[in-house]
Amino acid sequence: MMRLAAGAGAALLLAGCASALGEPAGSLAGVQLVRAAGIKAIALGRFDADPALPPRADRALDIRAAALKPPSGSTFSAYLGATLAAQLRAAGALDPRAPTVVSGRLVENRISAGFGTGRAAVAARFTVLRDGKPLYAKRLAVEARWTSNVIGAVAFMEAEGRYSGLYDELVGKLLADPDFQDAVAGTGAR
Amino acid sequence: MTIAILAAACRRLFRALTFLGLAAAALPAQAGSYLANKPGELKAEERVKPPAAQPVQILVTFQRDGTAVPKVLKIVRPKVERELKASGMFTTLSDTPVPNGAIVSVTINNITEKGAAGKGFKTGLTFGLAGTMVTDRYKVTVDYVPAAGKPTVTRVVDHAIFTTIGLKSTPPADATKMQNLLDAFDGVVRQTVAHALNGIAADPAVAGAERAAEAAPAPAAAK
Repeated sequence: MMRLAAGAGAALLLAGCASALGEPAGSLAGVQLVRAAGIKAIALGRFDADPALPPRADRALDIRAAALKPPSGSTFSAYLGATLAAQLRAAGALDPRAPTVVSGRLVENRISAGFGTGRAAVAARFTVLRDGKPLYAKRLAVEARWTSNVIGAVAFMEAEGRYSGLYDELVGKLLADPDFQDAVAGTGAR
Repeated sequence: MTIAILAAACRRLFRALTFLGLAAAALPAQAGSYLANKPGELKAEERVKPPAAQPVQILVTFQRDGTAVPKVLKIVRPKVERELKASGMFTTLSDTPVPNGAIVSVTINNITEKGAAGKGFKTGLTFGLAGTMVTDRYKVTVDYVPAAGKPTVTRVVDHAIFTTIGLKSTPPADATKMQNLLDAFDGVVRQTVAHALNGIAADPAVAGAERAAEAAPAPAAAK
């Protein structure tokens, strides 16, 4: 698998092309977090990028000679929403009609994978509204640091994995936040 | 300005080197994929009687060195589903929660060999003369929640794929040559999931509950 993925990464690098993140999927850890928090039903609101963020930062990130993009022409902020949706759906807690609405705004999105050290950071401001009343607003951030390979194709693959993992981590951080859990406690569809 | 020119030159050199290495590595000669002989196929005599089949929610995660790589799920998930169906433990597989709250979660973690890329690169640059072998280890974790509120039963099974590249590569001991890498990976999923599910089916928390359910009188008969 590693060889196949490396080959694909190398081909992309040589072509100066772009690679897209995979569609997010729910996990057992995510399901258990949602259930432990007593979250019954949540609707997702808007997930967008902060105007202060360079517009391109929501659509593509450069890793050496290649670009990393969100899936199917989407945006990274939408990818954050899709990651949260995947966890809620797997836990049976995603309900578009629920009165409790969670939204997110991407405020930081960066990656670098130079020779030696790779770094990535994703931050978002999440809000919870119930019947239009604000219950939660907090900026949450996650970051990763790793040893970046000298070979570009391998460095790209490592960076892509580390970066995409930050979305699961950020959503996990939100679901595990006691303030968020208080805000959405006992949520249910009407 | 000077830094920008240097950076551009470095990038071109780097691309050229990468191209040389990969182009040579792509030569069809002398690449082999081997599947570790352990745990091997689950033998008929090892197979325990599965509990009564029930619907289950399925969650699949593929990781590289502990980090999730959702992109690979398109390839991995159908293989995992095939093994879950073959186990006889489940009637239907669902992406979303099922009425009894049963969940089976399969996590395949590919533990890569440090320095593997460099070894392959060296083989590529020498046009296969400097043979090498790279090991991909796999730790497959199957978690089973038999019903909502029940404790999770977990089994972990290790496996490995050895890839040889170049003219002077020595085939690994205690491994079987496979047709290609995908074939070897197919074997990893088939063998690890089968062994893990078999262990779960034999676990007292699963098998015991099944026996207790069989022994309990039916609600109508209890009157």
